[in-house]
Amino acid sequence: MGGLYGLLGVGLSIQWGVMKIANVALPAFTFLAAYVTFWSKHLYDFDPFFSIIIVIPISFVIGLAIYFFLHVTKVKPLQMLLVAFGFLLIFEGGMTAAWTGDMRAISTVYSEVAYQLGTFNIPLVRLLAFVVGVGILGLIYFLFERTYVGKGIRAIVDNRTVAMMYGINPHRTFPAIFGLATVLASVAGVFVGLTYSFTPQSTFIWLGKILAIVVLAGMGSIKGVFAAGLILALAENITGSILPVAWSDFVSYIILIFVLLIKPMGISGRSYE
Amino acid sequence: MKGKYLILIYLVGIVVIMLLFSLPFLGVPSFYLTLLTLTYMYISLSLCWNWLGGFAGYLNLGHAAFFGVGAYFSAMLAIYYKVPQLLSAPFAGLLAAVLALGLGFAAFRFRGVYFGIVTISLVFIFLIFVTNLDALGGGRTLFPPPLLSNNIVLYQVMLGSALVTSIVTRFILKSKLGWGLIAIRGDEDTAACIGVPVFRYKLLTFALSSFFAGLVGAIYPLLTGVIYPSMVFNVLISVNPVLMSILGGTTYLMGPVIGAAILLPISYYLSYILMSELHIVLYGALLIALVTAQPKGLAKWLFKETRL
Repeated sequence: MGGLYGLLGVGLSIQWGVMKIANVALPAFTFLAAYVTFWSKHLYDFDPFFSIIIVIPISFVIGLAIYFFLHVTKVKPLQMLLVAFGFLLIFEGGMTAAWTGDMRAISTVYSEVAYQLGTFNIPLVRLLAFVVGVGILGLIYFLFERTYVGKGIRAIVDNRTVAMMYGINPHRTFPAIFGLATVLASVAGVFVGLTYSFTPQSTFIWLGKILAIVVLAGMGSIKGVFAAGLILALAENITGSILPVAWSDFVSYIILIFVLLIKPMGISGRSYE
Repeated sequence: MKGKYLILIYLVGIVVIMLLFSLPFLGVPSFYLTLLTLTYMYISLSLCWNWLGGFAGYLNLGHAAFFGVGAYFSAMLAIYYKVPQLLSAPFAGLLAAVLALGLGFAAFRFRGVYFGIVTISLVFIFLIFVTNLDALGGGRTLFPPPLLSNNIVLYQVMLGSALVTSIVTRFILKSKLGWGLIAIRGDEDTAACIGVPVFRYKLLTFALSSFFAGLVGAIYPLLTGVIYPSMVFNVLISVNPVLMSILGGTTYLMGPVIGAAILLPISYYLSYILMSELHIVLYGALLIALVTAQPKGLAKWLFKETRL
């Protein structure tokens, strides 16, 4: 699960790290994508991997729209949190209104397949989620650390004013990053939909997981996000085996608060302010 | 507005309050009585949220956590030991305040966005915790027996709590604490430099505001007759005071009162007309609209001089 968790966290991590926008509405996109996948499978019998192609442009456009809304209204960071929370409520309520609060699960030809690895039974979808997650994280890492564009983005993270003095225009890169982060959250959503059963209310539980991953990782660190995803997945599995399964949702929030208390820089040690 | 007018204003105020208290005996239909009771409840909640959220500028989204703690505490006492909720309510408030002291110790290491995120996590932590605890009903709907209460008593108690919170707000504003909180909103580091005990003030305010959240929360299940985790540990209960305070004006004494008095009846009627999900959508839209428009609040037109 670590790869999928990493994929979930990376969107918020780059939005928060680069643009200082704590966009808590991201998990809503995750479940919006899960619902799109569910319905395209259910009504038109689309292949769930085909629906990724539908999901990407839609989420990119919505992401851009939200970015420009925030840009035009010029809200301050603290109010940004409230606005993002407002979007979260809109999406969550909208999803419940449109598709009821019933538990949904996507079953496809893939969900039957599983591989035997020693004593472990690995379902194909989870394996795919891991591979895709790690692959996308790798791509993002490459983009950020090895390309010219990435260099500019990291310069903005370090010091926005100085970066602007050197001719980097954050207002050209920001919409792209915001859209990219939204797309990543949605792609993760397709896999979440394939691996878990979900309701619109799941948004809040997954919000905790995503925040825990991002905070554990430290701002804008891609490697940190991957490690944090693995740690959270491990912690949830361990709790799930000791206590009743429902308690594993608890772990993410506990991790979130403890990390903030003990090591607010996250495991990568990147600074917040 | 000084001298002889002040006495007149006090007199009018007292008459209005007496009228409000005697309203249940004047044959007001019980529908409106419930509506008013709920309004008082949210006036209380918004006012005590505003101490931290408005005066100090700390975005506390954890109100519902303490509200829920109070609600579950008194509901459990009523179910297991037949303790009337109205008696256990102050203790529910105390429990919430003690919890707030402990949690605030951790939460106040953060500012701004992080504080908001930590406090909203509290709501979800309590929600998951209570849902999974079998001793607290394990997520099932419980029916705490309504002891020593009826519509009229509830109405009076809620009106009383709204009054008490208003008076406490007044005291806070007049005291060093109030000035300290406003200084914190202006610039926390500067405030600390000139000798405001920043951390202690924030913690005290957090505990005080959670006390009232817990107290009001303890009475709330009497109104609904039922209690279940997602009813009280509900994000909307955290968001409502924020909306009401911003609408009314966070920098005015009466701001949250006006906001609650306007918003609650509207949302109460809407919840009759619309599905509850669409209701949430509207709330989200309202939140975005209010926050981005950044109004000074409706209180601006009513009170020219009490601006903080």
